[in-house]
Amino acid sequence: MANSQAMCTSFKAELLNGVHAFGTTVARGGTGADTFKLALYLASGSLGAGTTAYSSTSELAATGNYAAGGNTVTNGSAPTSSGTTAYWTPSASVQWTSFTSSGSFDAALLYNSTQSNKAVAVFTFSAQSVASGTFTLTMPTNDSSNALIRIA
Amino acid sequence: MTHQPRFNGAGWDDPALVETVRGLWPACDLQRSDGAREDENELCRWVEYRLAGEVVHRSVHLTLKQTPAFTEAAAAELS
Repeated sequence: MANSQAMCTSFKAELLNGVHAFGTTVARGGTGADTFKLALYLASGSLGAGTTAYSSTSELAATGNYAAGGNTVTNGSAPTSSGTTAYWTPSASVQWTSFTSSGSFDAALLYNSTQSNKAVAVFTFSAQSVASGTFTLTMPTNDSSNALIRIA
Repeated sequence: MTHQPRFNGAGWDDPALVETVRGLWPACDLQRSDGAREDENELCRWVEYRLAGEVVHRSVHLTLKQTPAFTEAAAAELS
């Protein structure tokens, strides 16, 4: 045996569970899971790694059953880990029904609506449009290789 | 009663009346088409209804397959 440099897998999962706080700006007031939402963005937007929080800029216009801020994701599965990867995925698809997109859209922002709408991740896909229809975003397999959020 | 075509896992169902940008419309008066596109990142299935060439209904069922992981290398770049 020999020592090996590594970020501990348990720590990665604990990050997803909000266990550690290296700073002094802890805003957590309770022990329950936060509420996470997904919002859809026009292909003309500029979301990416620099996105820090939800914004309505370049979000789809609120029409039909698409409301500003998007939809809450179902969080029925706690973060877990396998091998050296911690991961989490919403436990159900996210669906918007009976709406017409205000333009071509190709991105979804996952953000924490409990913690001041802070951004988590931006997911892009092929440009889509919807006309008086339904957009269903089905989640990837919740495992260490495919989960929506993975810390590897 | 929904007038939205739903993806049932194998294909789109076919409601008699379809919700369109012009209101509810009999499906038999509309031209229906559907399709799928798949790559390493997603599987996208769509259904469209046209009236005189105009798209009056479009629904999309998109499955995310692979998204970027936050890696230790990425964390190192932040420090």
